[in-house]
Amino acid sequence: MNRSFLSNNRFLSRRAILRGVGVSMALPWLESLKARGSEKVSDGTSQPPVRCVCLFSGNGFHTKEWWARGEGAQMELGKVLEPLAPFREKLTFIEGLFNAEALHGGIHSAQTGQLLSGAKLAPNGAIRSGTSMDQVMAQHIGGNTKVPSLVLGCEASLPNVHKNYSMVYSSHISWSSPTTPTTLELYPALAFDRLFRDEPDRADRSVLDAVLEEATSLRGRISNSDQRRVDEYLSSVREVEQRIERAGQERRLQGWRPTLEKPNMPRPADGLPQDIDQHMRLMCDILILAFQTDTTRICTLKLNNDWSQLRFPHLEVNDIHHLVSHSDSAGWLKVNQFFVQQVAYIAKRLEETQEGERSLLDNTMMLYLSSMLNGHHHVKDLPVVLLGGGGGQIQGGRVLHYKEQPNRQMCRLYLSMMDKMGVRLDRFGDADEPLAEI
Amino acid sequence: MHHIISNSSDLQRSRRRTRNVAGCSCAIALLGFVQLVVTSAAAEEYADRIRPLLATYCLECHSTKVQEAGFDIQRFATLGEVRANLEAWQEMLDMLQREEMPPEGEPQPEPQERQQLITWIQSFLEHEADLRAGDPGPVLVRRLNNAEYRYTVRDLTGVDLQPTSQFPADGAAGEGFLNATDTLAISPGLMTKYFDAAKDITSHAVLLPDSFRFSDSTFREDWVNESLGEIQAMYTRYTTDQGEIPLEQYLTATIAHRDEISSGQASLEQVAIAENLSPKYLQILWQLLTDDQPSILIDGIRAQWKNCAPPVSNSQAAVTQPDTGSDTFSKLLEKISSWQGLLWRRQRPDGAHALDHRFAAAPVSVVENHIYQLEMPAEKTEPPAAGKPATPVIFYLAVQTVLGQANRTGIIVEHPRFEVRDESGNASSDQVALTLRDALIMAAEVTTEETPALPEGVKPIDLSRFGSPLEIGSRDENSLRLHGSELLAVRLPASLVAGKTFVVNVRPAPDNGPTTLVRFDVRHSSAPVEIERSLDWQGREQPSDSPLLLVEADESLVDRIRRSADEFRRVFPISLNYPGIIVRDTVVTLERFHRGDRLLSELMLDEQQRQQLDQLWNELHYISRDALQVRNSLATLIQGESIAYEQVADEIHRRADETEQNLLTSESNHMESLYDFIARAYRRPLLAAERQSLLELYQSLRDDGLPHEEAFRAALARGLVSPNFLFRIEQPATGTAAAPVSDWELAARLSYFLWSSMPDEELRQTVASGRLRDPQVLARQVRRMLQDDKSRALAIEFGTQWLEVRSFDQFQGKNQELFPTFDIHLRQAMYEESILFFQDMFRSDRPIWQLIDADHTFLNETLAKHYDIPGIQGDEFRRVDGVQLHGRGGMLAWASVLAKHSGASRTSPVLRGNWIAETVLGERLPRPPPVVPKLPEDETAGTLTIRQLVEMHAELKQCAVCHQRIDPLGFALEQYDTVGRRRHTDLAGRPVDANAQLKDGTTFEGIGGLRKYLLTQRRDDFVRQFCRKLLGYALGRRVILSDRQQLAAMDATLERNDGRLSAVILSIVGSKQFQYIRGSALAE
Repeated sequence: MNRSFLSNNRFLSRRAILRGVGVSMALPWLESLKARGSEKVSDGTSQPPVRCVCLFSGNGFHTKEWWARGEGAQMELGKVLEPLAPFREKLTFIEGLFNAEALHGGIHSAQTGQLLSGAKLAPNGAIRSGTSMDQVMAQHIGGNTKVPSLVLGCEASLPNVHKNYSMVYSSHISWSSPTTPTTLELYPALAFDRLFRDEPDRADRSVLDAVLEEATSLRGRISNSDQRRVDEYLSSVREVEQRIERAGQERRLQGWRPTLEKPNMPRPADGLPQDIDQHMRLMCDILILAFQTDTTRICTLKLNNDWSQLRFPHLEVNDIHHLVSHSDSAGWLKVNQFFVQQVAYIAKRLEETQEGERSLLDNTMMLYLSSMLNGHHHVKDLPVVLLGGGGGQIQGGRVLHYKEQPNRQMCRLYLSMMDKMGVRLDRFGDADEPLAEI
Repeated sequence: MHHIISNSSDLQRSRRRTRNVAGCSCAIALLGFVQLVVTSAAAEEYADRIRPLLATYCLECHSTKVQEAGFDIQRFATLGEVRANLEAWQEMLDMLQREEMPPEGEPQPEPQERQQLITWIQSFLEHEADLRAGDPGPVLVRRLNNAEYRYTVRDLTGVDLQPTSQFPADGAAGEGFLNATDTLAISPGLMTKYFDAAKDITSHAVLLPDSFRFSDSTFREDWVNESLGEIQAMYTRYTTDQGEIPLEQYLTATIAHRDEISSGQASLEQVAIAENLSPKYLQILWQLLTDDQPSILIDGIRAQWKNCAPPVSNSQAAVTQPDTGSDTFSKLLEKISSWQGLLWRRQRPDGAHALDHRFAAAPVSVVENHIYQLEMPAEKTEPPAAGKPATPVIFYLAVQTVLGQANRTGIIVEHPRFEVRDESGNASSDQVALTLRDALIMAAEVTTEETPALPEGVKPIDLSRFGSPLEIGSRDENSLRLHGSELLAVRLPASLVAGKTFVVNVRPAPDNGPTTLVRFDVRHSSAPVEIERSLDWQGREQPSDSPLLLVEADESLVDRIRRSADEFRRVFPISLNYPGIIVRDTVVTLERFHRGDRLLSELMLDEQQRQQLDQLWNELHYISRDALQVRNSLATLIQGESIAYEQVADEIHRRADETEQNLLTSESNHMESLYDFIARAYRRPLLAAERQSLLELYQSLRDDGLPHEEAFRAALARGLVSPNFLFRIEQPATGTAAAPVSDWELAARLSYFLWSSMPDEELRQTVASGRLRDPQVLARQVRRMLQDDKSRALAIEFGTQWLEVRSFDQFQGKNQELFPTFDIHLRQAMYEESILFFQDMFRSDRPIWQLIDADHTFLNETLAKHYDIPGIQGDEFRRVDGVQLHGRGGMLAWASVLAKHSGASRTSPVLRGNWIAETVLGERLPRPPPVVPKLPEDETAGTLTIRQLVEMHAELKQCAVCHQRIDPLGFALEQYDTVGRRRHTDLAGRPVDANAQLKDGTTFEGIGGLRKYLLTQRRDDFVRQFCRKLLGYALGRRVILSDRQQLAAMDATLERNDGRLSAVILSIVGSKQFQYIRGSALAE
């Protein structure tokens, strides 16, 4: 791990903080920033890092019950969002942003794959999107933690081509390259292992070195276009190797310490939990644990797919998610609330975790969104909720309307969020400036 | 030629930035090798007639400046530019044909103008397609998808380890399949999974003396058990699980085929193979039965065999069998079996557990006299109190004449007595033996407890028997003579004989009749029923020194009987092997496995099988390392009593040393096998450098101190995460021209197409012999591979994936309250029907029409019940004909399809109709309007049927366009409910209406009408869609413009071959697309 890179990013992140809410910052904090830049100091006063989590559910929400009005403690919420009422002062309801590229192509399949990138999706059974904002951040600052980013899911990828677009698109919001959806972990036990298993075999390094060599020698024998795939292989092997190198190393020399040294829950059982509520709860727990232990700072959790086939017998709803979404039935409302309850659960647990003066929720940005506003494939006005303070950089208790404004690109929000994480880009997707209000 | 453009993308997108579609750039790149043929006439026609039309109707929105939907038509100034972007023209054609462009409200071309544009673009595209015909197309190097990885690992290791069970699901790309190049990228997350999987697979490797194999398990004890299982399987190949010869089968064969064999019509070998018997033993048996050398014991058997009824030649019986139920045959079996019981005894190997019911065979010898011994129970600690009756001990003397006449037979029981034995079993010198006679006299003075009455036929021994004439001229009052069949009980007070050994000499009486064999036995028995059977040892262990046979003393007869007995024993052993193998399942043992299979080798196994058995035993010792374990046991046992073991110690040490040496010398064998294994994994011979690199890795790990096994497994894992294994790597020719792939690469293309797995041994050999490119050889391989069980993968990965029922067993979207039978068993059965049906289409080379109108399907009891088809019992699937009567046959009537395209609580004519239109017929439907009316969630709500609601819906103008196309198709299937059962009423009890009326006025009813409609009016669409999907699956990419000729060729070959599926498969396999690869300099 490159330490100067780390401190550099930390500095960036502080600078971002300053630009955002710096007015209220006291001067001594700047002093300590300097101190954190040096290796020796471990004075316990340094600030915890900002975390980012992207939560997704597909097929939108109830047409009448996704809304928020008013400000701060007086904010009123539609029935879908009721589970988030305890956090209304840390909640920003955003209305009217969208991805222009989602207006083209088939329904569902062409409306999700670019959700976090604003990229254009290739039709005709090809697979090409854009690197999503969570992975852009992971590629910039993921090296600061043992695991660059944690990408989880609660529903397996859909294996078909729908309306001329691969359903890989509606099953992945996180993309580590334009042609590679990030492999998401569905199995709680394996997600847990990914974060905390630190027992490489004695021969692991040698084996990986040997295949790296083999793949490198292969490059000369294949076509130019194939080399891209082999390069992807090479970088994948390298990342596995790096993880092995980092395994078990204490790399955090500086002041701040996470609230947990080790996981405080047992490794989940192998296999997939029988019921979807248990599955989601476990995935939420793992995500929370990843933050509490500072194993990663970037998480993406796909609660289900767009065009989801999940069922909810525990809510006494029989049809699959996608079919229920085409109605405004009581069942659909229950299903919506069930998903928002997952968001609320994470928020609650993060709120309960104290990190110095602030809660972990205050140090986190939770983005919750769907691929369409409702079951009618409406994508010109995406449902978006932002929770948490982002390390004191985001003011909650607000409702932001963009519907009547120009420049409603979702990617502006992403520019803002990445900025809060210390990743400053001039341009992302179809946007070249962040949202001023965030 | 609608189909050549039907995969183009939708013009309604408003693209603001440069298009970046893979297929577009491909068209540009292709110019590199397609000769530019721009005739001046064509160029002029474009300039003079086409471009002006476009300018009039299109450029208002699609100028270079406006570029509505990102689409610029103005840029096509000349024909040259048109040729550089064919895909755009495919889209334009599509839009024009579907009259979606120009959009409503804009000036529309006159019908003949539209037609003029369509005709020109069509013929232009066809011309361009033909110029590019056979282009292999853009196929990036791709990793194995989950199914391919799983099947390849299965075929590599011989074990279905299911390594992908926790892999992320693959996505679909190309023509909608999971093997399409675009979806098969790799990522760090996946790499972690592959690495973990590789290490897990290697932990299943079992090292053998000269190679290695794989096991389900990662535990050595399980490997040992597998090895034992293999040996036992070899044992039971020809014997019962008790190691007995299944004589009934062999004798049946000799009788059933007697005439053919005798007349030379059939060889013994042929008969043996046909009847699944050991050729060797059949030969031996035949020889014995047909030999004419007299043999006292065999002659009778031969005579009986000859009398056994010849085969029943019943014209109604399909198979001719001897009349085995007849007395003659069962008597023959009885006779042999009883002689086996006499001439063999069952014996446990030394040290075997007393409750072990598995025995080894030991011959019973024929002798002229013998000393029998029987130990009396030890004295009870408390002698009976005075006045109380004494406890008796009972034992029996039994005589049975087994050859000759019992009434002319006698034996002399000489000097029966009770001896006192010392520790080593010798008769004590200072204690005089108590004769049986004296003991009986003394017993008469003592009162003993009552014992149960003796069974009928058993007499108590009595003093009057002693001293009867033994031989002419001599008497002995302590001896007695017994008759040919007698069972005498001896009853004495226990205290009298306790701890002593009963000893007696037995010999034949001199006045016996000729040819006499007698069995004598002396033994305890606890229950009367046991006494009756005291001479019947069937299924029980016999004491090693007990029954012998005595023979009348004519010397030449003795010799003949002995020889005859030997002959009998040689052919009819009571068992051929010791089936238990494990002698004593304890940690401390000096013999862990007992090998007693000499007779099996001699009688049943040919040379190759013998070697195989030896090898299996070698492997068992190698895997279990039992010799090392025994050496440890010896050390444990030896503590303090070394003398007792010194006889065995040397051998134990020798074997242990040998095992250690074997472990060492096998190391290099493992590396050699590893190279072979990795070559198979790479699907081609290894390069010298690759061998070297494997060895170097292994060696460096050994140098780091890793033990052999660990280093070996690491080298194995390295092969399994290699890009050469995980990816299907093909080496293109340099330059831009397409070139044939290598034979190894072609073989892999073939096997992944038909099996989703690596080439098998035969295919590899075909490649190695250089004959794969011979069209006839290739065709033969294709047919062979389609016949193979592995074509199941084609049924799943192509068939069920195309029809959208792949993994249907995991589909849970049904209301459990309404459909309680829709459980995992039913879902599995529904899925299995689809798989088996599709696999059978390929295996039996059926005409494609049968996908729609077959009159057969595959059912088990669960599914037959679901379908209300009587007479199908059991879990196993079978082909059932005549199912159209029951509303089944063909994919339209699969419950999987019908249930998948329904709601949880109601049917959905829309989903079913859409499936037929899009999936089966390849139609493209536009995206639905933003506001879609809702339908109730179940069938019982409201007053209207689902059909009526759907019909109302279709009346809305914005919906009608599509719904008029799809709904009627779905209505025809309304006679099937939400889980695919036939029905006449819906859940609310209203009659269902399965009439369909199409927009063009065509009407039909129900599934029958739908089948007919699809196979007449829509036959071309259906065939075209099938060919397109199959080609896309075979190539792992979407079908592109340049595939036009190939699709046409497939269409034509189907027509010529009555729709047989092998015709299209062979057409694909023989195509340039399938056999060539684009040059390396061609961009994607």
